[in-house]
Amino acid sequence: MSTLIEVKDLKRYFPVGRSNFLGRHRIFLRAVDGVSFEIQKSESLGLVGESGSGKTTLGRTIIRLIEPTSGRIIFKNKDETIDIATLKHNELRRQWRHMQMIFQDPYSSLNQRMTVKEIIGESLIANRLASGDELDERVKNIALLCGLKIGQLRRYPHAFSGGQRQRIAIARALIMHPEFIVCDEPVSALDVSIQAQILNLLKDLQQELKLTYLFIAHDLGAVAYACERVAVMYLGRLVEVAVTEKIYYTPKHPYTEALMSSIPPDDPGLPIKKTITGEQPSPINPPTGCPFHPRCKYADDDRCRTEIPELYEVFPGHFVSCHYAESLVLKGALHQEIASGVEGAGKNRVINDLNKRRDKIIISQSK
Amino acid sequence: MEKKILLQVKNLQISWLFDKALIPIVYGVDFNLESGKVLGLVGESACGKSVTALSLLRLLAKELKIVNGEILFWEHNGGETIDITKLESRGKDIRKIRGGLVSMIFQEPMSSFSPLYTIGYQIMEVILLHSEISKKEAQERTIELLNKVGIADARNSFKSYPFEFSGGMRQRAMIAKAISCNPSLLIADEPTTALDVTIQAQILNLMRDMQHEFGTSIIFISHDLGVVGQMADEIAIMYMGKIIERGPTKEIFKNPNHPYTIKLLDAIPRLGNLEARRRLEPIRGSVPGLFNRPHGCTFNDRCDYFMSGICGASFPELKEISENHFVACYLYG
Repeated sequence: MSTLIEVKDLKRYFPVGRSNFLGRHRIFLRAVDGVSFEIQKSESLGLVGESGSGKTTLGRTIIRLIEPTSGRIIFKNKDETIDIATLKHNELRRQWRHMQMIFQDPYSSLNQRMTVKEIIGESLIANRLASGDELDERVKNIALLCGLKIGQLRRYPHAFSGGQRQRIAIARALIMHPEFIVCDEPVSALDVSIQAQILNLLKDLQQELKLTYLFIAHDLGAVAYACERVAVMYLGRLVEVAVTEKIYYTPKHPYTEALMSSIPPDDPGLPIKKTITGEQPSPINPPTGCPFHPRCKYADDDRCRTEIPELYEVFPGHFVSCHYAESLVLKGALHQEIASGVEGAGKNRVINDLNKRRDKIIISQSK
Repeated sequence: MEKKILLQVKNLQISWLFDKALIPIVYGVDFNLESGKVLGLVGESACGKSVTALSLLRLLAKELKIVNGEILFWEHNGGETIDITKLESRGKDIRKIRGGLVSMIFQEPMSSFSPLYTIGYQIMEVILLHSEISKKEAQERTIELLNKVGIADARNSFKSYPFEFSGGMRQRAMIAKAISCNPSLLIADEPTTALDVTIQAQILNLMRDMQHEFGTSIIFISHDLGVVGQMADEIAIMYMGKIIERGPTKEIFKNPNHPYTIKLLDAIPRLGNLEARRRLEPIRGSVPGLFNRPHGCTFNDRCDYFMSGICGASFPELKEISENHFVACYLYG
């Protein structure tokens, strides 16, 4: 496997005001504060965290919808190696062909005055890559791939439900044959039954087109399903990056443990877990030392209060930023379930054979 | 313990007055709620769960009319039975019930507080309206309530405005307001949907503690089966304005019977076996619009077990298939 994107010490500070009337010091909101990670080719990396942790800002900064304050974003495309962070605007436009975005709210991300065909084909026209019959052909192919019907292409977005709108948004992102897609909460505005359709579609497309995803979501279930690796973000910093199973079953950072304990268990019979108290502090005035120490039940010495832990590799491929990652024994999402001998709700569900019932009724009807 | 029925909803039908026609939104809902129990109402958006809840307090918009049915509410101390559907929606009687006997927690904690008054004032207002105590006593009681729901420094928070609170704190204040008059019934409409998972867990724990302490009955509305599973004693699953399955929580999770319930449970990504990472089983299609409600069983166009000549005829009745477990599906006779 080779690396597609390498982010190094990326920062994005938003100016929010001045400290006093004369304005000697500017105050910044540190939305992304020194983040480094890699995304491998054709993998999907999940990015989770509470709201206000900087997930969306990070996702948008990587494709430079938001300008970074500092840091490097190395994009290895075929044989070129480009630093996205320093590109000039016209070069950036050319690179955007390779990186696209799917937004959270399919109701506001589609232009109401354009037909579906215009929405999907717009970037081909803007980049003068196709016109006439070729344009029609390419739009049709992508639309079919995303589960839309050809007859629907002349309609306007208002005629579609949320799930179908998200399919249009996915088709729009795919039309340029990008390699990398930032999915920012792609399913959180959808109903459960539709969520599963869209998650399946994203997965199929990834396998078919060898896509690479950065999958931003606060829904830990969806991320577990969609991603091979997961990065956990807290107050603008990554606190843990590892393979999905490691993050969910054997977390090494106390914040990840807290997140996992907050997931309602699959089985309603299990007791409610104790979770963390308090709320995420403001990124304008983050705590000194480890950003998580005011809520951390393991933090009890000066080191946590004064020294910012760096992200380092505890085990091969498992990165954590905690001073005590090696010595802490933490619980994953399934700890209690495993202890009580239950492995998820699927295991002990009574399997109801509806087909048998159906056949019986149909036979009795025909008599 | 003796079963005491608190609320009985019988054949409730609500329609939307649209262009002089009545479009059915809630299509005959029946359920009972016992004192001290939690009922979970689950369903996708636009299935009528919120409308059902709002109708219990007669808070429906002008265009929405209760066209049929009864909502019977037992007032246990006085022993009186009130039919809420018969009350004047702007009258004195319903106002006594709202916030007093029955109170509600809404999804969006920002828009359910007035930005112009302090949190403390808004909670105190409810207490003063429903009981005859002095302002001073009401203030003390409010501070006590804020303390109880875990708001730090309650005395100062009393004077805070809603914008000074975070989402989680606002929802805590909302709960304080809702329980301020010791209601017999609390309706919680998606109380944690706008919150982060960690805060959601805190609020659920709080609601559970409050429920144990005061013995309040709760109707808990959510689209998230996992959350409802943690809170409810009994679950009712709604689809297009109808309850299609109802039963004890454990029974619904372990032995779902309606094809829609089974599908709904399968569509949720589970953490049980990540290694297998099997494909999710989505429900095909999407919920039909209000204007093209299918004939017969409303789920028939998305159902894998459709039986021609049976499912298209009329809506199946809710049948008891095991103790307290009801299903509305022709597969069960």
